Amino acid sequence: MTPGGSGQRGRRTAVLVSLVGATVAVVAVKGAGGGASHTVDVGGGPVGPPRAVAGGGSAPTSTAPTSTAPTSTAPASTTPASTAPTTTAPAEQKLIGSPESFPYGTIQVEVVMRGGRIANVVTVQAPSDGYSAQVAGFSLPRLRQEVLQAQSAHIDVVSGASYDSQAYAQSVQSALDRARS
Amino acid sequence: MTTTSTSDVRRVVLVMGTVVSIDVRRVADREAALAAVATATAWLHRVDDLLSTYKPESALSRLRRGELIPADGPPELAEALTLGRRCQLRTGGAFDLAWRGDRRPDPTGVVKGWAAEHASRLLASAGFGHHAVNAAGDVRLRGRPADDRLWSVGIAHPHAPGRLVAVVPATDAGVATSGTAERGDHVIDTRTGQPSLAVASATVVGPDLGPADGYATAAVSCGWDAVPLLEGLDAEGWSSLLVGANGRIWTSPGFRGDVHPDGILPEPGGHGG
Repeated sequence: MTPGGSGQRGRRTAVLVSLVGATVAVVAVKGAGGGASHTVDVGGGPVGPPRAVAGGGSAPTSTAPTSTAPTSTAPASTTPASTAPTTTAPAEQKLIGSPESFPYGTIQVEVVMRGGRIANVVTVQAPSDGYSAQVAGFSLPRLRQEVLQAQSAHIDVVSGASYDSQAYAQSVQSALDRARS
Repeated sequence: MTTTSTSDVRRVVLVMGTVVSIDVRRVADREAALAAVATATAWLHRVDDLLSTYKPESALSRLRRGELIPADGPPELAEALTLGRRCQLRTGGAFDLAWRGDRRPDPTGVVKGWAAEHASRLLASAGFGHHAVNAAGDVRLRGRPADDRLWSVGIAHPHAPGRLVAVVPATDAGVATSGTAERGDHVIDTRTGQPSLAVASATVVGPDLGPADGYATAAVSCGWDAVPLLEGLDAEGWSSLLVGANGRIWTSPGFRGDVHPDGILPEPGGHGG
């Protein structure tokens, strides 16, 4: 029941990205047996001062609001007429993961970060034919849920396994790697 | 009662060819929690090195090649084999250590659950008694995520992607789910040698995730014939849920939780930290 480790790769990275309101730590440690292991630490806990992360193109500002203090430093001219002065829309950042192979094909995901949290994981590439597509169709939504569960208030954890979890997690991780500034 | 500032530590580890997520709640000492998680993670890697059938030099691979006897191997190997034998006995052979048909033992069917169980014990003994360890869908819960509620465990619906077939409240418990869909037809009917397809998903809830993993695998292996076995296990503190390939749902008398035959969507909230 343990799928093969043949797709494992020997990446060695240690990244700590402090985002607005959450910490995303991505650590990959080369395993002794030749396989790579990856650790993704998602969210939670008090964090230090936010380090700016480059915006994903849609949001022009990448500076985090320090507090809710109604300061008068708002840019004068380019501010769109907004009726909600107190809430700053959290910058959305889209991070594309690298394609990862698993025994049934290739998986690639895009991670959407919003307000320093993983807001969504979108499958960009997945097996599209026959049995492989069937396997992916069953498991990808569960994997997405697994990643998002850190943000779920109602379900703490999901029981039920997936074959392609490794490739999925690797693609998620590579996306998070790109949040490194 | 004093209010201390606590936080959560969540990690996703790629090990044993799969994903293990560790979710420690109500942490007062974050550094100590990270150290405990690192210890548990290191142990999981050790188990992977010892018990992987994909690593030719693992103790299990050597055992299977006849180069090692259990008594000469690491204690983890003996422990996993003992657990496998125990499951085999209790399930009347439905869980079969020699499931590969080569007369060589392979405890892979219980290793994931057993490893998560052990990782959870390591966290508890380090003083972190509120956590969830999820080894690719086999989950060990301990303590509570918050003072006022139990862990809420969703059971993935085998016929409705992204939906849950049940939600089980749990505190100190293991929840193992085995199925035909998640990894292809990976559970073999040990009586026929053919893939088991009648039961799409079997969930077993009980005090120890290791046996729960073995019982869930056995239940998928026997299909609906597993019902008498599961009823017997129910009396011993293991409750269960079966979802048939035809959509039929069966729960043992002791199964606690809300069942949703059509599946419900987990509600994502903005809550965290």
